[in-house]
Amino acid sequence: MTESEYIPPYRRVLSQAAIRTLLVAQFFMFLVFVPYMPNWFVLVFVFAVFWRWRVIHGQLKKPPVWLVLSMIVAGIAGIVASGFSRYSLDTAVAFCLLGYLLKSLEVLRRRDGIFQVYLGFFLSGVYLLYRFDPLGALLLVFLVLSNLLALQAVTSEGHFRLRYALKQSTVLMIGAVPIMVAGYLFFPRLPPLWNIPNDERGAQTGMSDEMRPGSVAELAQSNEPAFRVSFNGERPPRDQWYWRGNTMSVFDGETWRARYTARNPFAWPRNIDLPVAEGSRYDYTVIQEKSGQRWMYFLDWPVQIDGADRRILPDARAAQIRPINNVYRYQAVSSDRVSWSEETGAQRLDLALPQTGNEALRAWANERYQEAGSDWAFVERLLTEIREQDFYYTLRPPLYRGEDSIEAFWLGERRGFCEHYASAMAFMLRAVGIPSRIVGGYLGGTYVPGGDYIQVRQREAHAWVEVWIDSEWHRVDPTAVVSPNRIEMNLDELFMGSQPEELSVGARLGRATLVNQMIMYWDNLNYQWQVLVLDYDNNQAIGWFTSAFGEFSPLKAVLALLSVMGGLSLAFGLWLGLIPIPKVQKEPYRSLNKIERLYGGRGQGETLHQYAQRLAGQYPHHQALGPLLQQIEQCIYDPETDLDRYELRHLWQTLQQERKQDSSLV
Amino acid sequence: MSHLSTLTDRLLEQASQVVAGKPEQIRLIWVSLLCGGHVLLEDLPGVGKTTLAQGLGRLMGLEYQRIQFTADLLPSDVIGAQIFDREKQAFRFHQGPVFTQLLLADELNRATPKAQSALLEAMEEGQVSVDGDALKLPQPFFVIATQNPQSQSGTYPLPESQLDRFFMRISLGYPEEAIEKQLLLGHVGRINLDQLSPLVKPDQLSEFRLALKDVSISDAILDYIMRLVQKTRDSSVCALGLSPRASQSLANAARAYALTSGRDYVTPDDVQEVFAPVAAHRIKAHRSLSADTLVRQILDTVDVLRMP
Amino acid sequence: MIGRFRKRVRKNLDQWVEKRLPQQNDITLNQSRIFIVPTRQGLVLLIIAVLVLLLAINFESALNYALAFWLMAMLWMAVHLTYRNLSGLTLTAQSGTLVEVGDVSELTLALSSTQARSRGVLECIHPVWGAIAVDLHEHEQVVTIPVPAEQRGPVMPPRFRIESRYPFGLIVAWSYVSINVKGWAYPKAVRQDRQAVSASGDEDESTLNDHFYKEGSEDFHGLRTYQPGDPIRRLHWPGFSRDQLLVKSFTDYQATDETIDWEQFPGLSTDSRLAAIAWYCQKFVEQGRPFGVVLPNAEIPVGKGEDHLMRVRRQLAEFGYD
Repeated sequence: MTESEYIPPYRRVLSQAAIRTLLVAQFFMFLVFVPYMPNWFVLVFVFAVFWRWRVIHGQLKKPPVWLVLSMIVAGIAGIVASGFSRYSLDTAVAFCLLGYLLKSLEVLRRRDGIFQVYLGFFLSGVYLLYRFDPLGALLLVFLVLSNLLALQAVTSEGHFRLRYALKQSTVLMIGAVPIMVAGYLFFPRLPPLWNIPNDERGAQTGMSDEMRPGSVAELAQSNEPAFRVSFNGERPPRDQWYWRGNTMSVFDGETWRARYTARNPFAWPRNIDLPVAEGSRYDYTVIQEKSGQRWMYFLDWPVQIDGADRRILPDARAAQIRPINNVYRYQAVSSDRVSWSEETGAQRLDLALPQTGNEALRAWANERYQEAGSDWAFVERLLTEIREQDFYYTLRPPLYRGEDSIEAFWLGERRGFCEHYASAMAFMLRAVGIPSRIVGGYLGGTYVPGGDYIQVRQREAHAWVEVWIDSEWHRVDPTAVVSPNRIEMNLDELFMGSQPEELSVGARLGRATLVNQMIMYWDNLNYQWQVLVLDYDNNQAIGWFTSAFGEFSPLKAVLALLSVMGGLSLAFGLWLGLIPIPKVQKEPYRSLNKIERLYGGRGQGETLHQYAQRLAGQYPHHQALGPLLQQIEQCIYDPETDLDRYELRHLWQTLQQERKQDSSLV
Repeated sequence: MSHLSTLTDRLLEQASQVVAGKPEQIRLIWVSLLCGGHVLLEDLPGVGKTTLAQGLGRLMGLEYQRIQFTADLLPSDVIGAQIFDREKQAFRFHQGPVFTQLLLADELNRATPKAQSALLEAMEEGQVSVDGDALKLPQPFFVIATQNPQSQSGTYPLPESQLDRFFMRISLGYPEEAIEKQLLLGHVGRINLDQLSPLVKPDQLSEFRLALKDVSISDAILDYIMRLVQKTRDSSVCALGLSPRASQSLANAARAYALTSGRDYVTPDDVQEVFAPVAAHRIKAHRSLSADTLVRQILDTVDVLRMP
Repeated sequence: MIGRFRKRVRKNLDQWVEKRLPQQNDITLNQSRIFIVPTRQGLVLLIIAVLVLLLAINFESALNYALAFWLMAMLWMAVHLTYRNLSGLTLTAQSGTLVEVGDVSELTLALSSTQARSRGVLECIHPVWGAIAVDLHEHEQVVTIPVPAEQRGPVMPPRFRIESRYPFGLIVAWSYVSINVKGWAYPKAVRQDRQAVSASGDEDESTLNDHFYKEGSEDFHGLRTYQPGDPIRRLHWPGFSRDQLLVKSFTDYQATDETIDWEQFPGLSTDSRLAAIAWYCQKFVEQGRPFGVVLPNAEIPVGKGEDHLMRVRRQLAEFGYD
């Protein structure tokens, strides 16, 4: 055999099997990110596969520097060109993924392979920022498994066996679950250390803080869940399911905007006098899907909300300073009647209109106001107008644009969706001097008996008007007049009956009973997942911990985790037979063992008799040793001799004394 | 029990007058006799094999015969022959020297295999067959065969299968220097054999053999014996390992050894004492290693006692 | 200064290991022999886990908390898996080859275990031979360790490291084992002049004597006159009838046996004598002549051929090491 040099594991060249397995893991890794990344990433991936193929077929060389450099430059240029120019999560992920793909060009040695796998683990974590439903979690498990297989292939010295690797990986993953659960339960949820803006590209869903004609109708096409509500106690009646999100008081002639926008959350007023509940109170918990917005959804009208960085703003909406980039759960209290303070009442802003535009409509409104005589009568008059004229409720209204767009709707086409009606009504109310504003939110929802909650989807999006009369805000919903059933039914139910062609395919499909049931079941699963996993609140666990071990501290938490690990280690060790269970040895073997510990072991092939003689020579003063060993010998070999425990103990005592004397002599 | 051990002590004392300085070997021969096994004494000429055998025969009160094996010895010289009796006008069987209680087969390996096998058959069966008739040998029948070392010229080495019939193989070895000096001065040994009087009565021997069955042998000892035997069967250690008969002999010998020491249970020391004589001639070592060295090695490396 | 200190620590450590893990014929690895720590790779995984934890904190991503702790726990779990690879493994000394000094002797060890389970790749590491990987998938596997024979006598493997990083390379478990497996190295042949010590020893090297016979019993050789004491069985009866007392005489044929004797090289050191004997043995075998060897402690009967040569070489290798 020739002199072989020891190569540290990190520098060893990867086997074919390793490169192949790594490639498969990479493929899965890449696959899950495809929906979030620009399409041309596929080309990069194909190139990487091509290069790997070359490597597998004998081109064991690093790619030339120019190639790597040009790929990097092209990649960066591509990312920037695809619109990822801002500092945001998506950009970071895009770069990360590009690096992941390009790195594979030069994976030759084990170190590179390990790096690739570890990056895979990290990217799996990143993937969880995009997907956190049960399916996403399943995918994660799969990704971790495939990366572990790749890791095994990379570190297996060319002896990769898939079955064995699968077994080992599964054992590793399952064995690690208890610690994972412990860590998940007890690790304190810390506030973010720094902020990376979550890109707005497609990330924001739900009602935005702006409303222009058509934006709600767009939402109504979406089947995505918006939030889920479970009531502690009684549910309000179905026709009261107005979930307010955003209050829009600023109007520029075309677009309604909120008074407090996301751009300056720190300028939001604090410590305002909140509306005081006067009617019946509803306590409920909302689990809100990730929206990228800051608004939280409320039943009319918000009285109270929990959480340090969440507050109720003067225009009767609740918001969170940080954007809702995750599933959040919050407790809220609403009341169907409240008393309004000066801050929360009508403001000058609620009367402002652009100087020009919709002149005919203003004139029309003033005329009708004169006829009506009072504010309430005017509101009634407008509703009657909608009821009596040929107004038409549709998901696909014509596009009304320009300065006189409201006029074009009200006096012209008369076909519109809720936002058109709300917008026109608020405009006319303001035109005659009645403070009013528009509320964007959702109307209705589906009660899921299995989970005892109400599910609200994007397609329940709605807009209505609030009007300030008699020092009180009143909700006025013109849609209720043009399409009275909308209040009682969800949008898809409503349109399914009359205009099914206006609904999306998904919404239409959802009507089939079996499919509907499955959808409900899936939604329920999602809900439970959100309640139990995503929005798990470790206060409960910490409370339990505190009651058992006193004040919670990181040190104690680490100690607890370590002791869990230790306990599990022990259990595993015993289970796998790695740690022999210390048997209580029976006499006389115990005594013999003890003597061997004290005086050194018997040699191989040394009998007890010979051992006793040897020790007698070495330790002449330990007189009790001989009789002791003799008794042990007799006990072991003579079946008729029973152990004389008293004698044995006596001999041990004598021996101890002799040992003491001996050591004092020395 | 104590009866036997005092008897053993006296036997050893008396025997030492015949051959000085060999109490261990004499005790082993005595153990073989108790177990009903035959002994092969292997050593150089002149160390006192024959004298010892004669002396023991007297001490144990056994009827004694001796055959000197030579190259031209015929089987009939051992067993006996049909002789025509002129007076009775008939063939009469003339009993050979094998019809005795203690047979000393001197220099067994000088005889041709044919003559050897005649004796070995007698040893194995306890009977001889003459012209198709099986003739029982007296009881007890005990053979002490002596043999010169294999390397000496003019010998027919015994094959393994025949060696296995010997219960023990014992070598005497040169006497110790001090003893030999005493010998030269005439202070010890070599007394007239006629002066020895039998110590053991014939029926006592069967009594002892019965007592042998009562010696208990614990599991720990059986395990130890099995470990030793297994070790010899390990092909990397031995070319030829111990047979089940050998392990049986080992256990029996250990029992008898314990009995002669006045114990009614076996200790590993007993096993170690009898292991070499019982095992050495039945195993075959690799290469140039001698069986005795191998046996020593095995004893040194096998665990005597494994803790449960 | 620091170097010396390190050397001392190193030495103490070696002594400690020596005492704790003595040389044996067979070694079963158990918890008192196995050392186990995370590898650098394992520590990097921990860093990755911390990064994932940062993701979790920063993006308030609940599942990432789980992933982070999962990765950490995997490292912990890998300790068990890797430990399992070594635990209960028995190394048994098997055999070693006979080589010339300066060549590499191959020492064979058996790795076996009572439980039938795959233990992945184990590596036997020592600077002398680098790393030898064994894929222990079955009950038993044989490892051959090449150890260069530096001097005549037994060739023993140094205390080496047996380690396992399986299955994921996150953890390394190792033990130092010193196995009592022996190969042998016979001396390098060196020519020396032989000197006569006896009549049989000083014959000219090139001449081969005729066969001579000595009396034996195997082959019929001829008839000779009767001498008193001859066995009657060997009487030549046809001759007897002619009143001649003749006996059949038998003979054992033997070739001249050249004996290479230790005493033929006086005044040389032990090793030089052995080297010289080795030289003559080799020469004789090349010439196809039978020869015997006499050493102070042993005598090898006359023989010829490669097997005989190997026997002699073994004897030369073992000389003085019994």
